[in-house]
Amino acid sequence: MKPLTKTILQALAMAAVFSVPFLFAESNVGEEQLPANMKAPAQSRITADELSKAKLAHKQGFDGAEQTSDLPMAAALSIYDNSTILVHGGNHTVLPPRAVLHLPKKYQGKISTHPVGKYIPWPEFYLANRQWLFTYQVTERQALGQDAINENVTVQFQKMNRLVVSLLENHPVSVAPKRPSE
Amino acid sequence: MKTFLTSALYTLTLTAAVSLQAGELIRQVQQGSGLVWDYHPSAAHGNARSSLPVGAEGSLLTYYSSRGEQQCLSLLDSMAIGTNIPQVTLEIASEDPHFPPRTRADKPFNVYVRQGKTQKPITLVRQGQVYHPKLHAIDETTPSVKSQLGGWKLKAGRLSKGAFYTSLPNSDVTRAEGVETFTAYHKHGEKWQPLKSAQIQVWPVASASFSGMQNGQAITSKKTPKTYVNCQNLYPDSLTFVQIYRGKQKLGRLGAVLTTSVVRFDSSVPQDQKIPLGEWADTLADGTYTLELLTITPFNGKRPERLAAVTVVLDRGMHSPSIVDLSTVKK
Repeated sequence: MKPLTKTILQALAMAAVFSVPFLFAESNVGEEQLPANMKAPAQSRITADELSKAKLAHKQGFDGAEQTSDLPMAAALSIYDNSTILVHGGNHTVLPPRAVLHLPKKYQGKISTHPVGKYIPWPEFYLANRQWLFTYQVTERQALGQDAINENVTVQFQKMNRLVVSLLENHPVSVAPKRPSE
Repeated sequence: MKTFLTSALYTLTLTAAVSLQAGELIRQVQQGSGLVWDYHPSAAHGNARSSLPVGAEGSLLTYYSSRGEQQCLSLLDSMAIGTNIPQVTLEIASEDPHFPPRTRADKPFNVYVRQGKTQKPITLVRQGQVYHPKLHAIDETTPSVKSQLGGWKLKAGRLSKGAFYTSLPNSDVTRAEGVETFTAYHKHGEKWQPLKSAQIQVWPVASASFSGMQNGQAITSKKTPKTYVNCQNLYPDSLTFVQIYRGKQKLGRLGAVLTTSVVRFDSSVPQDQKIPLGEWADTLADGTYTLELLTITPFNGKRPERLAAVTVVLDRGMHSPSIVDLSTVKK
């Protein structure tokens, strides 16, 4: 084969290989993610100025409702604002506030003011940390602060040296301080 | 009075338009006593008896989840139950049908609220919390900053609809991100009782820039220069790619897609991506070309939007007819 012919054939072969992506793109074949009927872009990314103008021109509010300034204080939106957060091994879980009945000094670091790492549901967190966690089933009256937890039980908590979490029907519950008898 | 959580749970699930999943959490807060009980479902469905009485003043049930790449729990839905509790329905929707609701900083969302035929006054409160721009979540390590964004007194027995752009603050309004919460309250004397909450996440508008070549640049080297597209905050549900066409940049043109540039996300948070463009110029005849980065999201009727464009001139003395000529690409 003449060198010139060989060069032309090689060039054609290379062109065929390199043109495959373009040919496929044009016919939307070969790239499954692309929509079947590709449309041309209708707009460019909005700029901050354009968006500010659009927002100014837009009438915000509810039809049939009147604005008021008589509002409650900004509420806690995050569950972490109203929970006891336990952390261990780079993960965290949440408990109702006042659900920790006993906190040994050595485990004070397990309670955090903010979540650390990934959230693990309490049942899994407990199973993975039973060496330092203990659960205690309280009654509804105890949870409501109408009955005190037996003193013998609290003494046992001191001896076992584990962090104790209160449960009601196997789910964590807050325990109100015992109210004085009326 | 013991009350089955069943109806409340199902109501929450129905409102949420998704099924309850194991690992999620429903918190019951008894109004009045303030007692808190965390119910952890062990299966995606079933009945559960609440171990706390609803209470004379009712209870607030709040449904939390940490789905997808979320590290922390976030609110999915909440509702008050009990006797003499005013009935309210509250829904938020955007052009993106995803649940939990989400939108983009430049796309308005709708809030629908209907108060039952009660004469009890109900106030709807709008709050916002800004997300950390890297975490794309509330930075729980710092005290949360909640902005009170507005409040409305509703009229009994009618549906109110509002269309809102996000009011979350940011020095660049296109980069605002966070969560907006609408909560219906009943004011009982001086006490505010939450009845129902709904949230919408707001994500920034994506941005992008080409690196390795500049607008108007002449490329004289036979070897394609190393070029990339740097994308920031691609929408969680988006398809992004580079198209190329012959000529100067002009919005509305349809070019050939660089198939190796196609990036698809189905995520719960915005994504950054560096897209290498490879040897894109090797098979092109000399001439003027425009590369555009386009993204398709649930917005704009799923039509592509142009995030960035660059026009370059290939001037390498290559005019072989065997080289692909994009002038044949359909317009």
